[in-house]
Amino acid sequence: MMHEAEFPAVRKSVPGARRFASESVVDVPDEISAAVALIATELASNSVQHAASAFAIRVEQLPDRIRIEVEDDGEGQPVIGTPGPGDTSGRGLKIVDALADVWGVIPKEQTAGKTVWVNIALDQSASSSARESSQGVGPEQRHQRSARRTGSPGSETNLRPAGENQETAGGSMRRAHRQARHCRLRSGSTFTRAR
Amino acid sequence: MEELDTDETGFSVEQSDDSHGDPVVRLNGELDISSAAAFREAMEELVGKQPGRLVFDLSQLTFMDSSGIAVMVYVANNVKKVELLHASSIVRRVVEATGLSDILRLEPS
Repeated sequence: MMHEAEFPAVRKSVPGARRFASESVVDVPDEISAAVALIATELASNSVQHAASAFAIRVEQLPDRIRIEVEDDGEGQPVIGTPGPGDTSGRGLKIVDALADVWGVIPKEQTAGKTVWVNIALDQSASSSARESSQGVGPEQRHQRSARRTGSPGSETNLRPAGENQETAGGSMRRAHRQARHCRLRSGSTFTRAR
Repeated sequence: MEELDTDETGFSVEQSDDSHGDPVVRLNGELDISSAAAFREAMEELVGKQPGRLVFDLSQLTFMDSSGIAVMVYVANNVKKVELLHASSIVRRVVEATGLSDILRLEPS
């Protein structure tokens, strides 16, 4: 079931969006609900702070993943920052990248704005191999391969999180991370169409 | 002991000293873009006192995002040793994923 809510372009929308996202998922491990809250917060913050835009948040819990989308009308594309250890900003999308299974940006075709979407894999230990194989052939994955747009080619290398060896929910999730990353590194900067 | 409150997130900062006389900053509630300014303000005042070591007690912190991390990085830029006490597993993940574990030292809980 898809849950959707809209919020105005003010900072106090951010905790509201976080609460909304948290309440939209049920029966998931603490680590996953913490990731949902954090990803929703970072995306909502980007809309309010960088895009200075009202935003809509959508959360859908599926058997194998949670999908979070934040749509706004702001100019510009989200880009993963490359902050040095002393820089005090630019880490929001890096955090999203570290917690997500795969994510992407769908620009609006006619007007300013975009939808940033994030998938968080739910560990189905009984069927992780089925999920991996379906990832390669499902329509959504094809869409990601063709439609993925990221920053300049030079920024691609920064898509690998520093904590490659961080704890994840399990080996299958780690493999999914790599798959997603390969998909990202291979894809060009052309964007064909929205969903 | 001083306290700084922001509504909505229930965020507040409480400061005390440990047995070495170093400041211990306990964070309560949720730390995000709507509460980070209050956090930053409190930390600017504290950093002005030039402590050599500072401990963040995260035991009562229920949420933190990149804007909270940003303030901690600001502190770490100005204080030689910054330690995070009682970090949750997601905070640990975030600190490690952002490559900050050298300047924000995660103490075993």
